[in-house]
Amino acid sequence: MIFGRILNFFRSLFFKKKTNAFFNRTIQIESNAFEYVGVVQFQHQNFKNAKDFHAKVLSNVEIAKMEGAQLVLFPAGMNIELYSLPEENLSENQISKIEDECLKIFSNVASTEKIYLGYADLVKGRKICHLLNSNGKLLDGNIFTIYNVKVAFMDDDINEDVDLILNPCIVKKWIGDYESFGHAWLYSQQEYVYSMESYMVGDHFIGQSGIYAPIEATESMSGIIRQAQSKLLEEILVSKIDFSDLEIAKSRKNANKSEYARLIENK
Amino acid sequence: MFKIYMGSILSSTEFTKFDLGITSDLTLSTIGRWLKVDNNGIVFDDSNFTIFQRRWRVPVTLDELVFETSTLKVGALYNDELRMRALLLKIAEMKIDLIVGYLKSQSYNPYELIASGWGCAQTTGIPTIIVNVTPPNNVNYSFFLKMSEFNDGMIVLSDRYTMVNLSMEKKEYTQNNKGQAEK
Repeated sequence: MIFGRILNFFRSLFFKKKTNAFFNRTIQIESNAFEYVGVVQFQHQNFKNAKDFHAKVLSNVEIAKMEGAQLVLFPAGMNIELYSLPEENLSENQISKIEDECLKIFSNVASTEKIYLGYADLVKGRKICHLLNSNGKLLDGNIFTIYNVKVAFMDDDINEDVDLILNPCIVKKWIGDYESFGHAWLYSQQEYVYSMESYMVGDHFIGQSGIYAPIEATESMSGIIRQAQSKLLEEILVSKIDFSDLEIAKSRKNANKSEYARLIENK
Repeated sequence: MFKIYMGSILSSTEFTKFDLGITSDLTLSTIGRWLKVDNNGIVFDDSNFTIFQRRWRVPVTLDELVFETSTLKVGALYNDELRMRALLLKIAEMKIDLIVGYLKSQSYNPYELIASGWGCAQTTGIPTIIVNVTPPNNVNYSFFLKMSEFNDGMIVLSDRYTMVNLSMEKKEYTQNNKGQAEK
């Protein structure tokens, strides 16, 4: 009986806590709570084969997961990593096969690591966003529910209130330091949501990834939870976010909501 | 080319006092020679032209946000309205030349100015002035443009008084102190 109690004690430790030996700290993850998110600022490389690309994605996810991430966002253009030729020299069929290969890799990593993964392909200048659940299944629709939290991609038409926005990006030009305020950060301020933004960097790509909130939901009143230090180098950002902090900020959005909705509708 | 005076610019040779003044090459005083705030709302009071008042309330129609002069169409927004994405996108369709935003803050916060003013300019594509009031009675002015290849849209973050030149066609700008520095 004593042995059974000891066994139960260790079992409870195993299921409630995840020990991160690499960072020498323990991160509490409740089974039904969504608290930690990660963003990968992905270093562009010309991968020689799908196996190397798979290894790289897996390695990034493992690092993010060690810090507790339950959802990890990769940038747009992940399919490009598998292009052997410039896109204009590939047939529709080849492009489509590469997209499928990319999806398989992300699906495999998501199910192996039991983690939600988001990323986007870039086909002929158009972003195609994907969100996979922790079983590696591709989720359908525009609004996704992760641990009771409503999540959507920023580019999609979002007709209902969500709590978290994902913005996988790929750009070649960066105007100045203020540009990092111009996308997901600004969306967080205007829609009172958390946001995650991930950029492809290196070679001719540039960007500054980050995890953002409405300014009212951050202690520093900056709206920045985590932001990459570099615009050119790979970084993995993981942070805890508390969705209850959004409530105060959202109350601002909801003040006079119906009156403004009527105003916008009427014109 | 318009000259926008923000704050009391004592060095101005054209006028002795401005709270918010906008002049063009053609007319000495176009709009908003004095921006007043009272219990009913903000007032753009130009003794030579019409008086426009935006009341402290949710507007009934979008036209209530706009006033026109002979040369400019100006939108007036208050506080949280500067961060209402759907409203800003609607205003972007209204061919407005300039937005004047009145923002009352608990304290000076550059991020709030970026969210409200710079963000408004990015979303609408319209040059945006922010009149930022902080306790007890401090007033500072900001001026933002839509980001382009040539500028990051951050013209004046927060100044007690400043002046900018604005070309409505090309959205070019020069700032008085930047011009002096070049000389």
